[in-house]
Amino acid sequence: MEKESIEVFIDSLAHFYRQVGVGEVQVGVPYLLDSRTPMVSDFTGIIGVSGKRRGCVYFSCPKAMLSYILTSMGERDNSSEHLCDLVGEIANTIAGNARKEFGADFMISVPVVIQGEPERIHLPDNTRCVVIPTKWKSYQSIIVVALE
Amino acid sequence: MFSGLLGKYRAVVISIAMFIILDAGVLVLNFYISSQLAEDASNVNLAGRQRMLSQKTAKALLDYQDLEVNGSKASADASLEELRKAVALFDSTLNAFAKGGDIKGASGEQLFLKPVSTPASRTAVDKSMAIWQPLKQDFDALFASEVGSEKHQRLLRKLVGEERSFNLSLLTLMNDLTVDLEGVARQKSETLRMIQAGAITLAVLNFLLILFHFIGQLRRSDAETEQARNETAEILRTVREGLLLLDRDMIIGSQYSGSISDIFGQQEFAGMSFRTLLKSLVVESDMKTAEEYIKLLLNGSVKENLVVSLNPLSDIEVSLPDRSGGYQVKHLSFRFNRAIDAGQIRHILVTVLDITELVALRAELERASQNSGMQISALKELLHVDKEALVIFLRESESSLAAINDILKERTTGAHDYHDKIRSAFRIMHRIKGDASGLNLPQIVQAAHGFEEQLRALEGVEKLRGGDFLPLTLALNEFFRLIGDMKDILDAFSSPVANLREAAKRPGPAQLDVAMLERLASRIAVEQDKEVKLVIDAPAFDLIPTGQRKVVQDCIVQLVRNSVVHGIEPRDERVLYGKEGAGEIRISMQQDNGQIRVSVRDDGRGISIDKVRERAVQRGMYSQDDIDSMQPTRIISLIFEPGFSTADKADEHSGRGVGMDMVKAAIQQLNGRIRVANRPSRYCEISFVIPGEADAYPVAEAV
Repeated sequence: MEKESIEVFIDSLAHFYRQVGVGEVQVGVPYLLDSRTPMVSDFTGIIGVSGKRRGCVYFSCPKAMLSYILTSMGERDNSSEHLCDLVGEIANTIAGNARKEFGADFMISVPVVIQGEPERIHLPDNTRCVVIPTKWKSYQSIIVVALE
Repeated sequence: MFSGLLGKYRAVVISIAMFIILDAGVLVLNFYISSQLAEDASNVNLAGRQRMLSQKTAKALLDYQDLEVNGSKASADASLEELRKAVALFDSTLNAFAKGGDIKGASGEQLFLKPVSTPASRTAVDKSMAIWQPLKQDFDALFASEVGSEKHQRLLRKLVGEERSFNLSLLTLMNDLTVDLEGVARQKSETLRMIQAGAITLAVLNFLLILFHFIGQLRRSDAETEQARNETAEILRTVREGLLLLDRDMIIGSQYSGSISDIFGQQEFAGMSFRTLLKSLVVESDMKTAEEYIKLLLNGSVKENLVVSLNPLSDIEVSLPDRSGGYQVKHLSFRFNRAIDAGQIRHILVTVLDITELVALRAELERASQNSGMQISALKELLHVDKEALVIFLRESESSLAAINDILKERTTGAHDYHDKIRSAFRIMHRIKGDASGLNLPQIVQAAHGFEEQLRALEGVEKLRGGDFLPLTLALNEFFRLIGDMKDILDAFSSPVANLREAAKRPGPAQLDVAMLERLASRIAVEQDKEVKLVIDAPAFDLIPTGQRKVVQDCIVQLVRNSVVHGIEPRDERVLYGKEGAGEIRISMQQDNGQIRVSVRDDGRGISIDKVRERAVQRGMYSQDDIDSMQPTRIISLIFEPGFSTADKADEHSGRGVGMDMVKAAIQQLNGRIRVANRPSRYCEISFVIPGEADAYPVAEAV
């Protein structure tokens, strides 16, 4: 896994926060995660990656954070459906940016959103994933890059 | 082909031929009997005419007799002429019935009459002839005699008399003839009816035979077709390859194998264009090349095997959506072949193979062959290492790496946390490096060194941020992989593997690894261009609690390394000070009042207080004033502080100032105390006292 590839995903997330105008995100110290035990928060947007690198990248964050963003965007409806849409939108932004950066080397799928359910995430089993903890306001979220 | 067809439809052809022959036979027979019937009808008519003529002759004779006497001459002559005609016709006809011959028909046409053949007719004719012959002679004489003469009158009277006598007999005989001839005709028509009925029956039977034969054959043929269709369907369902046919417009045919759905997902492919199938899977340029290639194949004048190399789809990587919403990468191989029927290229047969596993295997092989260089050098390294020690080392290294990962994972609240992380990671990595060096595993030593370099670089970064650690995290991942690879190699080349796994479960070494320490010391000495000999006196090692032996050994490794690098002088320098050329490092271990005292003593240059002072200031650990106010023992204790090193340049063995702080941390962990006995230019002895099996001293002290 190249540093540059992972940075693209981090930058994409930062880009999203800037886009919605809710300020900068802090990136924590990245660490490794055993691919047999996926780690998720309340809402997760997964994008599948194939091509030169294979696996998936997902963004997972607590419900409270999504509610906060929705409220700050002037949206009153905080139903699960809206929260899913938002996390999907974040994953989409990450996917879109990645598509732009990687070009033909990577194929990026349409995001899939899950609530909890870590068992639905399938990580490549021959590598460890890199977890990038991010903090925005007081909310902890993670980007997990699981590429072969 | 014709003979083939005849073979297949032989029975049908024979049946139909029989039907035609039978019908033709009946037809010929019909014609024949019809002509016979016509002949018979004519005979019956003629016989009937004879009957009539017999009466007419009689009537004309009587009329003539009457007119000859009482009538005019003209009417008498007419009557005589009529008599003559009737006699001539009767005579010729009767003769023809008897012997055959030409006669005049009812409407004046010339007919040939065969002699009658049936016995009854024959009898009737013969009898008639017998009666008629004398009569005929008399008629001839009458006609020859002069009208009105005596002779004429006499003959006329005689004939009238004869007529009266024989007229009835002649009529009866002619009637018999007529009846018999009618009977013959009826008989023949009856026969004809019988033959017709028989032939029709036979024809119907033949028709039924053909019908049943056909139905049976159709049924069999249908069953065979059905079976063939089922078999084809089964083949298409089962075959691993994706098979489909393309027509000249590159449209997919109605039959294709089940694997097509497995490969491209569930949908209807029949009638779909090949372009649509590959849309979004293949880049446009490849698609165009593929289409041109197919067009070439459809062109009969191009040799198929000459253009095979133009196939752009012989190995393509495609990403197909899977059920979990992600993409599944598959490697597909398309092959195109002409499907020729009757010398014409009808279709292109497309074979799609999922070669994902094959490609993965190939990649694996490539990787293996690339790695083999590394593996062989790694193997060489591993061959001379004690396997048990190696298994333990790899296990511990893995948990040490996991510990570093845990350190990275811990939440941070500020910049100082980042530096704490770096320092802790340093200590752990340094221990791995020490162990690897002790086991003589240059690859791991190098990796650990690289990792330390990165930590060092991070420490120099101002305003550290989380993202700065990313390269380190990735290096950690690589390190995990390296250890994993080593384990794989060990598994692959060790026998029996189970023993090693068992060894890996043991908590620590049973004995101090003397061989390892000697190897370590002599290797470092060689690298540093020094000579060194190790004296080991460690009978008390097995008194150390098993869980602590590894830590103690690690500390000894670090102290020995320290002695060789920092204590022992090069040979020339030693000789100058009146010492032996080879330095001596003495490791001893004694039990004393339930405690264990471990010491590593070298007869080198000792610790230079001034150098330590200088270094501490240089490193920014303390201000000059602080240093000046410190007692010499306190100064010496600085060597155990994180980040201190007196070596000028960081290399694999020293210079990071991590080794001694690791020793200190380890001894503290064991509730032990460290002592330093130092005499500049003469010796340096670093010892530590740890509690035995049962005791524990909560004191950590540097003197």
